[in-house]
Amino acid sequence: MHFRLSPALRTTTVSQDRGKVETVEPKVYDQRHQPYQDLLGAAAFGTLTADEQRLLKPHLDGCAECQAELRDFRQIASALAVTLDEREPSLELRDRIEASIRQTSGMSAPEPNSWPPRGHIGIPPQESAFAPPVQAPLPPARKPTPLRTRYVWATAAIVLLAVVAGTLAGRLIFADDSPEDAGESIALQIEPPIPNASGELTYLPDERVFMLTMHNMPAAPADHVYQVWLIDASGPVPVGMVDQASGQFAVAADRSRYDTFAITVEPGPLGSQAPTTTPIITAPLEETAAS
Amino acid sequence: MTAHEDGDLILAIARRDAEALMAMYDRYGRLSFALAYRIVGDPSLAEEVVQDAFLQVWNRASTFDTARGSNVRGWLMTIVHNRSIDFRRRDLDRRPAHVPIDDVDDLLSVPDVWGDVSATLTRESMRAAVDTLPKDQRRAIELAFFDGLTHGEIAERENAPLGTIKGRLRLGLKKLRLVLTATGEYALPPLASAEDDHRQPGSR
Repeated sequence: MHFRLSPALRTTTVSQDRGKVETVEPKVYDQRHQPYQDLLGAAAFGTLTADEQRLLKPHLDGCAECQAELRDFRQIASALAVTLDEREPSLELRDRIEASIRQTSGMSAPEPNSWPPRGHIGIPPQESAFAPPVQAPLPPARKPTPLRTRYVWATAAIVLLAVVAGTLAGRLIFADDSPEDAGESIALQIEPPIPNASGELTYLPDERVFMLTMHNMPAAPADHVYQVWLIDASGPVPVGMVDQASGQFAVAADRSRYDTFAITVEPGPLGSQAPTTTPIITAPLEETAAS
Repeated sequence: MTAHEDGDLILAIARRDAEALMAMYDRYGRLSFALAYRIVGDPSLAEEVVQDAFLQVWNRASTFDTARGSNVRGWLMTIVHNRSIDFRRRDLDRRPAHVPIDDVDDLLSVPDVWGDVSATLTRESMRAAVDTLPKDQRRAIELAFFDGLTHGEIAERENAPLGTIKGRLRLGLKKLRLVLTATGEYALPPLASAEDDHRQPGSR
């Protein structure tokens, strides 16, 4: 139990049915609980400040009630998204996502009868699995698309995707057979050198995904992680941690937005909001003729 | 479209079925994009957010415990929201104030439960629930959820005391929970009432 109840408020009673002496905790609460409850709303929205997070963590670790309330609040918060009108992303996005998951997992083409049944969720059979990248412009910000307009969009997409379906099949076979040719290799700089350590950073321009595989990296110091950053003109953006077991990492990001890929050693398991150490691995992302 | 189908989808994704992930995208991609676009305000960046969110779903589907709920949509929206807020805060300022909720989850070991809000909750039902909130609570929730503002930033924008903003957020969420429970869109028993709120008068 957590510490909300002052010991002075405990009451000793005799249970009527079992004749045993038990301690009953009356519903009187210690006001020390309140500051933590005050933070649960922002915690659910993901907008705690670092100081607030440090304040809340130790309390929540031992407070089942606040954990339960935070779970509730998170679900309510996620439901707020439903209030929005849906918007159509570019046709290209679907293809990038599909290609990126196949590339990052080294998958081959799916079996024809795998999930879902074709057309099951409103996708015409001819476009459901392997649509090629379609160079459609990103849609400008606009009001929700009327249903009729959406239908026209969908019909146009189906026709366009059907036309390029043959090209797509060939591309996927190529990608599966020669994955090293599917992306842009980016040179990693390990400084200072780590004996025997090496790695490959690949950018998949069509899918806009970075894939990193490190070899022979020593384990990060105790309670630390290898944190990955993408750096642009305004500074570093935290994008995740290298999986220590596999040495792998992947993130969807547009290379053209960033100047440098970097890895630092940061306190774990969360890492940092801004780098606290000098990068041990960097990779300039400026595109060259060789990349 | 049912919660059962979503549960089947996430199980298939956990088995590395790429078509299942694309089926989820076809189902929730537009809503994901709408949320990301609403928060980051840039279509290209919003697509980057959505792509990364689905990559996370692909890599983390096996951690989704369908025995503890099948609100896959809620889980996905949380991923999209967190990533969007990261981008928005990065663009708005460089202060390292924001703690992504995924990180909070890891820290606090709060188990993922995604079954209490109905997976088939409609836009109309949720909007009706939001409309029941007092204007100040609704405003505070909008600023926190869609604009990613902290307590202090909301207080400054609304010219209100910090404690008042904290209360608006929490009480607003509790009221939404009560309304959704009353309409059958939420499954758990109600939380302790606002009166049984561990508060003492004037303690803020």
